[in-house]
Amino acid sequence: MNFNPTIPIYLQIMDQIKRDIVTGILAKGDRIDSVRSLSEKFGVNLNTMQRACSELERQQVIHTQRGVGSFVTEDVDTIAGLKEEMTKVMISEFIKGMKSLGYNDQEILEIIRKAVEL
Amino acid sequence: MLKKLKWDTLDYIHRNYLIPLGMVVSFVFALISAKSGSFMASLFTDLSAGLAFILFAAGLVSALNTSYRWLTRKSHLLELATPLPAWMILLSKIVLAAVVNLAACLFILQLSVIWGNSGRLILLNIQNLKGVPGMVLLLLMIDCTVMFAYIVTMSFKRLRKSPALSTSILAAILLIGIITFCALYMSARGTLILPSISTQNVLSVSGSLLVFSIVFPTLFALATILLELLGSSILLGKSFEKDETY
Amino acid sequence: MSNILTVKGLSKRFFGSPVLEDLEFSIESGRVVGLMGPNGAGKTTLIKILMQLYRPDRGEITVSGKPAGIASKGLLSYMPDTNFLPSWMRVRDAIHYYSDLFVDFDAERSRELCESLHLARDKKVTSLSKGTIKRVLVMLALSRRAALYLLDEPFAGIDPLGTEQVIKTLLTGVREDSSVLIATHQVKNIETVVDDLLFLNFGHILLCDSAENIREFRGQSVEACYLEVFSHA
Repeated sequence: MNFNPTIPIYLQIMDQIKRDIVTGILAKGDRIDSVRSLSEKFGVNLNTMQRACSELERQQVIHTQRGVGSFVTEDVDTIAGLKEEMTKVMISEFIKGMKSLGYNDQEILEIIRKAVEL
Repeated sequence: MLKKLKWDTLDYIHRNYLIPLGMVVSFVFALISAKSGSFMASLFTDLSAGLAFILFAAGLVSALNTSYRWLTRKSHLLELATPLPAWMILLSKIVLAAVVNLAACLFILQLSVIWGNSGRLILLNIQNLKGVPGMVLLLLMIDCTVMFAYIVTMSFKRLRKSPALSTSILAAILLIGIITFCALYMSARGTLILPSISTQNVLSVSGSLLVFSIVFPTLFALATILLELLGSSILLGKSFEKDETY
Repeated sequence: MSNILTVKGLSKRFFGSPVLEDLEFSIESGRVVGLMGPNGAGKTTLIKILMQLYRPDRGEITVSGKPAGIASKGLLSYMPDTNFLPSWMRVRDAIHYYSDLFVDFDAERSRELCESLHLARDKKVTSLSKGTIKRVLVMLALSRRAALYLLDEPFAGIDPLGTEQVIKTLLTGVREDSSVLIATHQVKNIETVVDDLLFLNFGHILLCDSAENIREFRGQSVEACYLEVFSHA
């Protein structure tokens, strides 16, 4: 996976995993690979991967069962919350970008309406 | 320790395989001369002798190289990176040098018995072998001294600046000093017999190199070797340093 | 987390000019540390001192809580920046040598690494290209189950595919509590590999921090940070 080297990598990994959960690539309750195979898959070192997983665990996005493995949360609300969070970020970045091009709120709405209709 | 010896031996064989090979050829020439007519016989004997003396010298030099030359190659980094104590590394080299020196001496002695008996394979007896331990000990002492001199040179900043010069001077001083001391001590005791080499039938060595008749030089040589080994081990472990950019 | 290596007040002069001056740092177990700096900054000298191939003029080195000595050499796996294998050795000879003289050598691992790094065991080492020789040295160093790996310029001269393989091995093939010190000036290669960074400039440590901290608090990639720090040095 290609990372932006100017942003902490563990955060980018977390985003990727959250995205996979929201888009359904990782379904709720799905088993997650071991930290070692994940670090190989992502191409990062173990500690970085470990930090990402620990943080996801702390945010209750994944949970670990000792001796069994790590799993995606079963909690639908948590997943919905992730989706909401990601949406917020996308929207605000979009609006910021559009505003920097010089559009005002009305124009932005109009453009979106037209784009969705097509 | 044995494993280190194994690898040092392998290293020696890979670098010096021509010497044992040449020795075999020498033997073959010497033995062939028994089966040939007189002209061919003397030719083969001469070939054998010429080759043998070159190989004998080469053997002694290769023993010297075994004791110190390894430190001048890049591969010394690998050896020093292993978790072996310095004395073990050096002891392995010295043992190998002793074996090579012994082999070279036995080689030339055995061949001279064959030459002296017109090519017949007659093996060495105890009488012939009397001078060998003393000779080997002397050679080993020289090898050890050069090794010690090199390690001392590379352990001190001032000496390290001109390694070849420092090593040669130090080795020369030590060897001259040792031999002088020995000679003086023995002549004071009245036991000094100058070594002589007779080439009548067999190349034999008598005099002060005869181990079983004179104890002092033997003990002295052994003590020197041990002390040099000890000193080298300590310095190799604590102060030896080689910068490749020198 | 305990420290696998601690260095205090380490100084070294060659021919009167200082190469390392009063260095002080530690490496925690389980971390991958990038030792970075330009040519001549003192990286190789530092590693050689840790391997006891050079003697420091001053300073203390502690490996796993004990002062550096013969025992600590066994805990360190060294990959030098030059070929230190005897000229007559083939790859398999080197493997047997390591197997005989290093107790922690893992023959199975060396087989795996030979495969993933595409190394032919029957070739004479000196007949190989520079990049391939480096891969052999990497294979030998990483086949040992050491506490600290000291890799001096492991990527120099290796093609992109080989580099990828070496990085993959570093990422997944090192035990969790083992640490790695990589001396290199090829920042790009190690961007995602290192946990911590040590910037060394002609004997002085300019920066000692974790890569993620650099990203989080300086908003820079390791490469950008390196360029900035060293251009002001």
